[in-house]
Amino acid sequence: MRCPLKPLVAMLACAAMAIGIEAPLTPASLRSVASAEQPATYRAPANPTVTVAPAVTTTPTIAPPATTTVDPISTAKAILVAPPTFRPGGNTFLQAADSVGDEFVWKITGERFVMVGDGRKQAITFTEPDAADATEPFAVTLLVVVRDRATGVVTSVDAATAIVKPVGVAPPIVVAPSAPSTPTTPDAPPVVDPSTKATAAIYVYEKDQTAVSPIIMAAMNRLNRERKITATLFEQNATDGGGDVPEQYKIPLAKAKEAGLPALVVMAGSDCLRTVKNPTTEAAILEAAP
Amino acid sequence: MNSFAPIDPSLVDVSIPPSGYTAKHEAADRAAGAMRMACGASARSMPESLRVDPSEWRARAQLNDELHAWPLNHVDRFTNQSPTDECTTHSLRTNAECAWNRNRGIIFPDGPKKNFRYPESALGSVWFSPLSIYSEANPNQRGGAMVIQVMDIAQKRGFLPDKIQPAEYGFKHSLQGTCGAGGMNQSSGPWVRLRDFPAGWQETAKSFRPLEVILPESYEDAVSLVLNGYCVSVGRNGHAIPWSFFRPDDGMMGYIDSYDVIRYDSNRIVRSAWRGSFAIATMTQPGDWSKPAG
Repeated sequence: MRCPLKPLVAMLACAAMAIGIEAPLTPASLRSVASAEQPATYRAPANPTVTVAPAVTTTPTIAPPATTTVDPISTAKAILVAPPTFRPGGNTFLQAADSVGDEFVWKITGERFVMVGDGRKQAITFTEPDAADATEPFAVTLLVVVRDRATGVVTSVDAATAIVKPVGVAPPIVVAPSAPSTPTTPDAPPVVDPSTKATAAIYVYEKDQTAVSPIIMAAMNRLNRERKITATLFEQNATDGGGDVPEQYKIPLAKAKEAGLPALVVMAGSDCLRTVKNPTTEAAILEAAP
Repeated sequence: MNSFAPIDPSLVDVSIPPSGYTAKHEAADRAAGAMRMACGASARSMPESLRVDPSEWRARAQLNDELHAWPLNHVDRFTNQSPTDECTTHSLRTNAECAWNRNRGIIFPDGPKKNFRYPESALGSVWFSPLSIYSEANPNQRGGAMVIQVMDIAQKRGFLPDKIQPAEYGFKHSLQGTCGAGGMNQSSGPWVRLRDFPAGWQETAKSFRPLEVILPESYEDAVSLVLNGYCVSVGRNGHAIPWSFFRPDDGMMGYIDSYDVIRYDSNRIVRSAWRGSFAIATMTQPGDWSKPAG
């Protein structure tokens, strides 16, 4: 297994040298938005559209590069929140919202990633989830820089690193269908014929509580296009032209409400194969409806 | 789709010949409470869950570009109203089709393209007839209609489907889409009065009705809705259009114009025009996507 720290050392050195010039990972400048004006009257959403599992963040013990006169631990403060695990084929978000600094530089080991964001929050996606080394842990580093406002000279640098493992993510909460006809031991998985193919997948939500994320939309599109599963969204209050719950959504709506919204309900004809509560990644959607 | 790419300045704040939306219409649509009343039981206040903090707009736009998550990416066709006054109903149909396709779960990666039909449209995209609303909104044909008028009609009784559809859905009733130019994906035909609609048409139209319509309460709400994939329809500058993507760097809104083209409103226009706008959150949904009217 490759040590993720060796390239990390080199990476930090390069990132530190790059402080003198802008070397953002994302297409745009990564200037902090802390100083950006925000309309005083606009309320930030109470429930973020993306939830990220809390993770352990570590500050590397690597000494600051000798080429700068930066005090490595002063005004700048790097606080990186990343999920401890990350499933290939899915997307995940890295948060630096609590960090203090003027510039945010993100670096990631490995080449098979696309990262987009505004500096304080980044979304990363595997571009080759099926690659042989896609299961290798990788390191994400956040470098936060403070500059003197008058001269632009760097006055403080801080860094935080997280190691993310691409496998072993906790399985989504799966709600078993109603009791199987044959006895099973407690906590046994739902009794489902593995050869049964999904015919439909329904993401049931309440629009006043859930903003359906682009990641979910993209995953549902993939089910439609690639797996030829009828993958649709159903807002729990929707009706047909007669004012009733549409026939195809009666069972999924009931199953989803049992599990709690939002939920993905996977059907094989009129049988519920499985219900996944609050899927948040593309992988969770795709795995639920193979 | 790249919401950061340079654009042709000639497509920004375009003034076109009168297309059916006058200053009187605009004043009426922006009167306090007018849109809420027009939406009736379908009116909804802006949900907190859909508000995107301005500090996140840029990142969200990047994500929408990557994942084709704009309202534009749920619309699979242009319409063309030229030279009629049907603009408010064309804007309404774009909004309704966006909501329909968003819940159908299909993404059209490049949005509408002139003289092009996506094969995936046959999976359940339904094309609504703007004329089926306009005929009732303005029996005189010329002179246009208010946004609140056409919304009031649509949420009460729904659209008739266009005679051209991407799949054979077996509709018992349909109507030409426009008296204007139309196109490959929109039928064109003569003026028809409401009383001359096909007998029993209400039975089909009720299957294509807006169910929940969100009314933005601020400029930031309008942007948030677009960032979340909801078209925001608005009347301004003599024309009614559906905002379909947002450019965070210059604050412009891109819209699917009912002349087979994408155009842009400057941020100045967006900040003044959002009042009186709406976003359809859900439409009636079918029991069977291959037979959407039953």
